Amino acid sequence: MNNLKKLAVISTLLLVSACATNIHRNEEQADPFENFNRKVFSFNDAVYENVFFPVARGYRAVTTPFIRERVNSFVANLDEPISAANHLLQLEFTAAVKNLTRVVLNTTLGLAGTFDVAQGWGLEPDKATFNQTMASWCVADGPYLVVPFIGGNTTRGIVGTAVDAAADPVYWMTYNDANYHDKIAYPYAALKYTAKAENYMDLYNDFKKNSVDFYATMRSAYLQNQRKLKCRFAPEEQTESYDFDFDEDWEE
Amino acid sequence: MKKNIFTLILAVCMGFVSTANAEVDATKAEDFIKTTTAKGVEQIINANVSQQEKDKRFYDLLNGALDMDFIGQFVLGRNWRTATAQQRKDFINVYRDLNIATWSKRFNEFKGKNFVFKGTSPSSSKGQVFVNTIVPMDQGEPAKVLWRVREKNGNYKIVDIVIEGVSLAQASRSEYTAFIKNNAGGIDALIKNLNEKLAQQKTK
Repeated sequence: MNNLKKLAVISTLLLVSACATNIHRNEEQADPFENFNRKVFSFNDAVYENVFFPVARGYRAVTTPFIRERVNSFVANLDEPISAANHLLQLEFTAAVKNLTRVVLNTTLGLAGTFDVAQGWGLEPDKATFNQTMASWCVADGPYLVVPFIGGNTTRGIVGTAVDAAADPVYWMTYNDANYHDKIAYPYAALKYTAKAENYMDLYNDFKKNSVDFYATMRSAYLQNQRKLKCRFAPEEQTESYDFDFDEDWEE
Repeated sequence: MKKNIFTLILAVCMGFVSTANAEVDATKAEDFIKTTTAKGVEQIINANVSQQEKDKRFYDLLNGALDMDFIGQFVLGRNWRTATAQQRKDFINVYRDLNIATWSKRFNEFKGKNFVFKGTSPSSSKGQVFVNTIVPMDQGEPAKVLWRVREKNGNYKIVDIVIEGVSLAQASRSEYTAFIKNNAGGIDALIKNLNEKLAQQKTK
């Protein structure tokens, strides 16, 4: 419980500091710790190349695409209650009900979530995170920070990831039995992150190969992704984040 | 009389509204993207021809569909103004070739997939419109791909592709601005580096 209290205190502090900054800034301004961030980014790149990706390649070598799809569906199904909770917190009731219906259908008819049968019936996946929930309630994103092992984030993103991770159903379902906890929660986490690395590896390498400044490319992609999140109290006519002025430098 | 003035004002306002909308023909912009993507899928990705022929067709298709002068200028940002005419020309050339080479490889992954058109949305920039598409994936949520189209003298060209809310033009602009800032060689170093990337693409 003490840990939860600590998390709550840290979260509040981070949120207060995040609120003090403006939502719309350019990418360089959003990154006041660039020198430090670039160092962590290089460290992460070495970890991905030497640890995560070799494991992911091993996983790819011993599985078929069919098996990997089953694993991805299984993991996504266990994350679905987190999406439902976040949709509730965002007052998106229809989406929350859809998430819950998907869990019920996929857990039963979809054989413990290994098949996404709900999608076939028109119930498309609709993921929601606590970061999105905070953004919807207009919590500012805060400075850009590259976190060791995890990667680029904003302070709001870090809090969001921590809250979603703390709400992990597998962790809580096995919480009261130390024996099951060790045997299930940790192997499950290992599988989840290996599958994740396998999913992202090709895209990561594609970006890396084609960028002259890989750090700036990843930062831009992450921050653009954050800016598309809408605040519910913003004026109605707020333009889409990707609809920036595309004429400013133009000379015929 | 009052009524007449009111009608007149209304007519003028309506006139303004219709000219504002007439600025760019969204249907034509959507048709242009439909034709371009259909050509890409049918005549290149699914066509039974050599990779060399595919690369050539892809080059012709994208070279005609992308407004490279416009995009190139945007992605260089504030550095465009200080660049010499030669630097601008060299940059546009390598940026075009590198993009086409990269995308021709990426598009191979679209084999068996189709773009589903979801209408258009207005842009705050003059003469531009977004054409909305989604690409159903083998699993998970479909990918949202938006095409930013610019009309000039009745011609339609792509100026940006927005994938899941991430604008490629904006990403390139951030990348090149950071590179130029952190390299003593400036724009020349950028052009040299991009040429090296292009050479790597061609050898693979």
